[in-house]
Amino acid sequence: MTPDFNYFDQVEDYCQGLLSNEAKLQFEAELKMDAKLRSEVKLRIEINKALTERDVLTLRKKLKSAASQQTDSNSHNDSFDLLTNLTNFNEVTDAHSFEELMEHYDSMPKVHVHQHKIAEKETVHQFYKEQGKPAEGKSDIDEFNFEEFDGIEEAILEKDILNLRHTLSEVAKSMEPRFGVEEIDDFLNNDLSQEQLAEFEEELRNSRELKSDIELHKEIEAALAENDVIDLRHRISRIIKTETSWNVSEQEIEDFIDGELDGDLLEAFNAELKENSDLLAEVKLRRQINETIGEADIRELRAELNTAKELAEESKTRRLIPTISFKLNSLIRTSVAVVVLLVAVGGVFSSGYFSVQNTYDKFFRLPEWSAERSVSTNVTLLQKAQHAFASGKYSEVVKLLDENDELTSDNPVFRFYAGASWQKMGKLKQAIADYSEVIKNGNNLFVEEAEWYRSLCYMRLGKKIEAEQELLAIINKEGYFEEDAKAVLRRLKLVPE
Amino acid sequence: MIVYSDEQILKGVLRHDSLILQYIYKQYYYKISYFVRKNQGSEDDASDIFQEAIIIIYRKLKENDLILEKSSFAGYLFSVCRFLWLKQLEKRRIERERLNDTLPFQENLYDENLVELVNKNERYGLYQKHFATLSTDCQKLMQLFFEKVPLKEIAKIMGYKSEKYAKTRKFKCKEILVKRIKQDTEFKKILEDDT
Repeated sequence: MTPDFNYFDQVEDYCQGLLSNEAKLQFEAELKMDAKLRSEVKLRIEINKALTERDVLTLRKKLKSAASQQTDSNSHNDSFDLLTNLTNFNEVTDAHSFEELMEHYDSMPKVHVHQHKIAEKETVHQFYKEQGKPAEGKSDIDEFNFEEFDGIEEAILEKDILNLRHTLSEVAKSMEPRFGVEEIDDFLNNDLSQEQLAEFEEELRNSRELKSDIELHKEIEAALAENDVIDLRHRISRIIKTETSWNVSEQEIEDFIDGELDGDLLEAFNAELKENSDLLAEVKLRRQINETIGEADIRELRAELNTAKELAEESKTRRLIPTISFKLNSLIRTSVAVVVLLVAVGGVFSSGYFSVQNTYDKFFRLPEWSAERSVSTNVTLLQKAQHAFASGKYSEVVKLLDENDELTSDNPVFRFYAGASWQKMGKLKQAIADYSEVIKNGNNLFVEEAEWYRSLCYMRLGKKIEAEQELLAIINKEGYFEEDAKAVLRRLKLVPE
Repeated sequence: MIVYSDEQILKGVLRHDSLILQYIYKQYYYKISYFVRKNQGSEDDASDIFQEAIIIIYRKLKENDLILEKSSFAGYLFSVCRFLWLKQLEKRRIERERLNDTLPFQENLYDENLVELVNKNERYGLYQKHFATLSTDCQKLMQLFFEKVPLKEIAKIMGYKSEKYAKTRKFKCKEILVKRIKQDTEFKKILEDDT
């Protein structure tokens, strides 16, 4: 909201108390409603207050003058020049405990004083302190009576710290090693000239640091040449990521759940179950599935399923005959339903539980349209496609994008949703082609998802090797789909070839 | 289920046989994981310990320094894992007296050689970890140097204009690597332990 008066003038006048009563009332009403105005007024008031702190301004001016005079009198750059000449200032080397100082000063100076105390024990500090002993006679700085200025100690300590920092940085510079990576490398590879070598060896005799650097370089080279160890580490890491950690077969797990495991096998199973949390979780999951379905029903159903399956297979042969009786039709319908159940329920007791179809159905979730992840798209076309996608008209999405090929072919947003639409329609090869385009494009936010959906397509098409490679790549990226990819990979391993 | 003999396992480790590695993982990992988790570690710690123990066994085998006379493969693996975890606990300043020993181990295996090898493995593992964080370009370039490929050839493979540039680039890459290693707190701890 724009105020109906001259904003800045009014603020200034208000702060200075120059507004008329009516204007002041109006301003204050505005002030209540406008937070921005309130903060502006607050800022102005604070600035005004700061400008009126004449004592502080005077102090600053005097300090500046004192510091410049001191610099002039001591042309050498010693560390604690100001400090050593202060008669009225208790130097921190006096027997004050840190706790005393903490109670005496304000917070920032406390830290400075403490640091000062620590630093004074260092050789560097003592050295510069000796160098910086005051000259005979009094300097101009003594003429100031510092007691009348509150906080002067802090200011001087600030200067002190600045000097210390400067000194330390100079010392650090002088401590930098004479020989860097390049020279060390040349030394190790015998690439130094006679003169350089002599100089290097001279330094090597005196510098422990250089010796340890050379050792480090040698070790790094040896470590990086260990291609076999690096390879072994990768293999183990891959096994840990993709394999189940239990040492029992699927059959043994099922037998254990069914109470059919006994003797040594049962003993070994129980021993592992006690320690192996992964196995415990697997047993729990399978038990839950069984409980959901109902143990007794399954046994009965199993027998029926076997019969129905046989009949269904028989019916496939009979379909070649054009006349199908009503009874047979009904039987086929029943069989189809039963076969579905066979996969879903009967499979729990065999590796069918981890069938490709089952795994695919479990893990395929149609992505939601989130075109906002792309910044440069044709809005009208995008909206149309989005609408079609949201309405489940996947063939329309594909058609729309196909018709506008010149706009959509290089656009990862369109390509990704074209892929998703193809996948939803079961046209997995086309989906793979579109996802591959998204991945190839690289510079977009859909790559991770495209890889995940492409891996599912590969799996569904029975391209186990491609699916495994894609899933491993997803796992290695440690992204959003990492856990799902691991789960799919484990299931894939249990799917018969 | 196939049962492999210790000899078969050792040969398998030496040639990085995936089946043998899977066998070792399925057979022993859960015990190691249980031990680590019982002793203030996580699942990730367990997989690290397991991985490094196999690498140590591999190093021993490479040096012809592993003869399982008084121990089985499992016993050796557990002992190494326990040793590695103890070392971790020490680093984390956790008292070893409180250790919940669920792994069958052999104290006599903890000789100087093992300690030395474990330390070397720790350092080398750290260098290799940092090497893996360099750009692909840097990694490839340095590998070529380590493989003693002539400078001219390296420049050609990498698509550099001159040999001099290849050399300068290699120094830069190595400089980054050395810097990262030195800045790693793990490295600093290793140095502290050595002194």
